[in-house]
Amino acid sequence: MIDHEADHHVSQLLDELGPGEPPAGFARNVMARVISTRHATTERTVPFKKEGIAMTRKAMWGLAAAAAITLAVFAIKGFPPVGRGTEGTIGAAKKYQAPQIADKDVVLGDVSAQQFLQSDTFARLLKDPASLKLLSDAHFVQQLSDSALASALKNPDLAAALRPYGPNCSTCNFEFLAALQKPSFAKAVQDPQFLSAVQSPAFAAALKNPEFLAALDDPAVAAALQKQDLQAALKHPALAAALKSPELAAALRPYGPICHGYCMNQLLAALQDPSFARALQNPQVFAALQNTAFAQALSDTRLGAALQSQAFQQALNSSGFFAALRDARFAQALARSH
Amino acid sequence: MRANLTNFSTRGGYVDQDADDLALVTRCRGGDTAAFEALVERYQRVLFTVALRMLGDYDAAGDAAQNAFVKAYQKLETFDPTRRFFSWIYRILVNECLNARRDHLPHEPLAPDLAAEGTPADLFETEERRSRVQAAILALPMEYREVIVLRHFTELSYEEIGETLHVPAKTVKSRLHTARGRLAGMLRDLDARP
Repeated sequence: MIDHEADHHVSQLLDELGPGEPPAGFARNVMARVISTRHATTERTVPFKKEGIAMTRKAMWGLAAAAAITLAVFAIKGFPPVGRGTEGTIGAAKKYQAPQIADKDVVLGDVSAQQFLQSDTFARLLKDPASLKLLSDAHFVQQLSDSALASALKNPDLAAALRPYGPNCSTCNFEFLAALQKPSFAKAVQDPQFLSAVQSPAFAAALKNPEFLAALDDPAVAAALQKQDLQAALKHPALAAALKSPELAAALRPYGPICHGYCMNQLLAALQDPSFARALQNPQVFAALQNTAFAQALSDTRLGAALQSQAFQQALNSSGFFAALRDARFAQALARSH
Repeated sequence: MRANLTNFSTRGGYVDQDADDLALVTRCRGGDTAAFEALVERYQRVLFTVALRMLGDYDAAGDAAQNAFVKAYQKLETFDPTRRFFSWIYRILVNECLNARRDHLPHEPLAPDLAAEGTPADLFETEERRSRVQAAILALPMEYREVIVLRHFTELSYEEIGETLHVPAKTVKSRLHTARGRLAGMLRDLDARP
């Protein structure tokens, strides 16, 4: 037994020891090791031998096939370098060289299955819990094998835009994967017209911002994006030409994806605003967007300023406004003022 | 979500356990490395303290705590979200401490946290006393050392210690009583600082 006085004595002595203070830079060092671990290619092996626990060998090969499809699609245009230079995976990669994956399972184009399966990219993909979960989803795999998506992903600008969200990205991969998992996004991606629209450089640039992806989660925005009228409008050559205008770019910069942080937040706030979403769903808006004169007018710096006004926001919801925009006389007036 | 489940003391500068550990773990599992950094920031001090008192060596404690965090990150998918994150990472840390002790015996636990104010004689006396207390902790069998460290240096409740060690709270109380009795015996001749 320990008496009260002795117990108090022990407490005093222990209190005197007190807490320890970690070495300076402790957290930074931990994170450096975590990041290097994340990027390492040889530290973890896939638990093939754990029969019946996590995943059977058959399921593992199914996943490998799915992963191959995914990364093959991503690799079509310059995704993370694959192949030579990834010798670190040779030991483990031998496991993946068995011929279970048939050509029909792996849509690799001009990239060989063996090369891909031995790649650093593939090894990293298998280590990413989010990727594994996503790749286990039959619907997602089906999406990836969709020829329209593959075609869209061949766009160099889009590929460049997606690169930050690729398997080489330690922090942002999750955001991209999370966006892909959203039903609304998946639905939109399967639409050929949408796929065509997303090939625009502007959309590709927007994809660089994870917050933009978050905006896609908004049901109203997602619904609007799926409207064929909008997709057609986005593809309209005149609108595309207008969007290339330096003046318009300057005017829209406060809301544009090239502006990060505060500015981008404004754009996202606008996108998520129900009134904006409603405006996008207005057929008249789409019709107006496809109007050549309107597209040309967008090139005007003064209009760019006007776009930022509250009055314009209100006008967007006015049917008369869009009727006027389609009017040839209005276009002429715009031309005169220009 | 429950807030402040533990009684990690802010008085001693320990990190409070927030309710969003699970959210951070979920983000980590999704690949968000920054979320793990938040967990490191939150638990670095308490885990380092545990390691320091378990090992009695500043450098070894730093290594063990660092290894524990890295292994926790690597094994994050095995974390059971119905349990507390601290309990889980604590087990990893204890294993690291056991490995460290197998590798080398502790030496004098001189460390920045042991600094004391006063005259050189006071400093010497304080350090001597702390060394004795630390040595006494290290002399305890593991099951007693754990409850002493968890109770006094993380200030977990009996129930929380029990959850961490996978034993009933009454076992924790019993072990703690025995551990304190043994410490009292070993430190009987040592005066506490007035």
